[in-house]
Amino acid sequence: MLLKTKKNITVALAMSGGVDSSVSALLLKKRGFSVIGISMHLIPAGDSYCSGEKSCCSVEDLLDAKKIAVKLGIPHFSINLKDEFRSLVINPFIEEYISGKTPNPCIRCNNYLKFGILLKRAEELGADMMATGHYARVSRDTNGRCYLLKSRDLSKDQSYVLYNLDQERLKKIIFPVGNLSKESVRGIARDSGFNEISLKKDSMDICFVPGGDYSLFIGKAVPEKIRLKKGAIKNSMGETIGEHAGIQNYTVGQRKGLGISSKTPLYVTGISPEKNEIFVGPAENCYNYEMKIGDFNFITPCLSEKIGSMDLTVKIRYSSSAHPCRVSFSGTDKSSVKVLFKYPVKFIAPGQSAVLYSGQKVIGGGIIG
Amino acid sequence: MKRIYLDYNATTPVDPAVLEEAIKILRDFPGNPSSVYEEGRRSRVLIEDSRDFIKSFLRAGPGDELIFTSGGSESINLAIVGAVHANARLKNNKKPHIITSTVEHPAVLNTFKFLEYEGAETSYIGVDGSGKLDIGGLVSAIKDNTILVSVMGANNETGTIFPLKQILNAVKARKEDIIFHSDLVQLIGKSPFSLREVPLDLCGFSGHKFYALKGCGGLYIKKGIKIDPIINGGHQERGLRAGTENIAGIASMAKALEIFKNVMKEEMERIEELGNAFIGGLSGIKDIKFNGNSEERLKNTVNLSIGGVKAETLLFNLDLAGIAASAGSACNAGTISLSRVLSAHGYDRNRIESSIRFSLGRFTTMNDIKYSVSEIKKSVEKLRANTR
Repeated sequence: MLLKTKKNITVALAMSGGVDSSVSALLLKKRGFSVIGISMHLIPAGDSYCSGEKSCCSVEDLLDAKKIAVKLGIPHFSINLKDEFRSLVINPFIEEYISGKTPNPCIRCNNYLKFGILLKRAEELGADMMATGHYARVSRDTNGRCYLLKSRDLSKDQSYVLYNLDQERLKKIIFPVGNLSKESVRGIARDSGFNEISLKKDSMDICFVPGGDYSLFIGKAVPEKIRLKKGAIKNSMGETIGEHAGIQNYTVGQRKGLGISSKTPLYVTGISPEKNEIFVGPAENCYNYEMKIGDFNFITPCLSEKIGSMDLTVKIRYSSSAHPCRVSFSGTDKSSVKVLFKYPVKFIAPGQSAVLYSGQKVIGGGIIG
Repeated sequence: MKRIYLDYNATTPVDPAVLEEAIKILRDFPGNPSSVYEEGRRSRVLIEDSRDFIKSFLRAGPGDELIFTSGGSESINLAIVGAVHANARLKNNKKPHIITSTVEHPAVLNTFKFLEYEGAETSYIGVDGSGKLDIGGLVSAIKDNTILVSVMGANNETGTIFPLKQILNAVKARKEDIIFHSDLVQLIGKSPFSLREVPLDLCGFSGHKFYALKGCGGLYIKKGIKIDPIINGGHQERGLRAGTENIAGIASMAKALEIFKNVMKEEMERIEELGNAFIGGLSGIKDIKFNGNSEERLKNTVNLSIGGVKAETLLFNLDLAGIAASAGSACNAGTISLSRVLSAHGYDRNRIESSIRFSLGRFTTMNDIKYSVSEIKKSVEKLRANTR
């Protein structure tokens, strides 16, 4: 193999204009890589659904990314993926949501856009590797196998949204801030003269739903698809105990806005789009001992042989804690995994992603059925 | 890395002689041209000398006006909005009809949209695959309430030159009192132009397209044509454009046009030769198509599509190789959208998605062309190998 010095290795860095990817640029440059900044332009400026609020991948963020790139003396390109974002992320989100599921659009965005189209574009620009500002780590064993690990700073870990990665892509990926804490990342930005960037807030909401009001967003985006049809709210006995204003207004685990008075707090335990019904119950009705994960992706496929005998943990949403569990396959199909929790887990939302871990290592993940 | 600039239609570098002049003016002419004392008078005279020179460059008549603006977009807004507003005010015409082509610059198209919002009726006349305007269609679109026609001199994306004289004559023959406006932003400073030969009513230009400073432009107004101002304030520029004049910008335009007048013939020949060498060098690429009109064209502009090669990717690769070119219309985020101009030519999506514009200029050399041809070929080969 030809010896490649780092100067000869070109890394395309996905730059969002935020502090994590900006510091990634600094770190990659410091490590001697030849860096190209690339940004995705995902959301049309002035579109009705971003109503002027700032969000990830907005024009302002792209300009911030450009500023950083020019300051560091690296090329920067914005890539127009508005149409792809709509068809591969926003539209499926809307479809899923309308059918009563709780989708996580960031998962699809990472899989199809960031580590899909953008990675391909990076290669077309001559990049050998691609970096992002995610808090996660990649390790490689002596056999050349790659593992995806949680970030060192567990409070910022983003490995959850990366579970669709595979060996081929992991080989080319660098997460420059995966070993750092958020505080030290902000510190590096400050010390390097990127004061404004160091103070930027973390994006909390889904980027195309600033404010986080999904039902309002969907009502605006596809008013024709919204059947704000009133329907029954039922308890676990099947008795009608109230009326809802349309299932789009509810997600599993929701407590507020049910409009039912009860001695104990009631939560949404299930949604039936077919019957246009919402099921509610007290907290103790929201627990499950098991769940099924479909469309399962194994990051390191050889691990699939062993996982039946391993003590694992599972995250059932981005911010969930890691629940101890054991898993088994339903038949020979490796894309469907059955999870048995050690302790019951509440608010399992179909449509959300579940990700399995063995310690720090991401085994893989899929969609909760 | 050495940079090769092939985007002269986007903007031009300032000519060194113009720059020298501009610096001198910024230093030596501090006065407000409206002031009544010595410093003011000197600035005033400088502006009026520049005005006289540019008017004579355009071969304007003695009673005609030239108003200085902040650039092409302002000139166009002032011309079109100003004419429609004046017409509504003077003739109490609440539903004026205005006509333009589908391949105009957004400065024209979006001004039309603005006037639609204000209640004007609009018509948009198309072009064929070679960029030729449907003149018959334009004439037959003229109605009793048609007050203005706007057709560009040369297209910014394809370089296609419009037969303004023929279009003007056809329009005036159909209805004498129509105000004819032309966006000459791409034409002035690249190609000879004379108002004697093409007696337009209104036409605008932009300094930074012909080696003058950015942020300055002008609007020619024929004697007797009434327009209302769009910027209200002081009485500068015959009451049609309030705001203290951009003295250095104005003088830089006069200087730049003086230079162009002197070098026009040789420069046009040289650029045509470079353009032909460029086209010749690229013609061997499999599946290449040249967009717009191959004959009636600004010879500095080469718009082409390379089958199966996404323009965005090719552009970024060329940038990394040191070459600056452009595609479609860029927004301020720096991403590229599909060209509306090429869509109006009836091209298919693939052809539009792979279209790139190269535009040559005063400082382009044969070596630049040779290097660019070889880099383009290299990138195309690489990208095609990737997609296979």
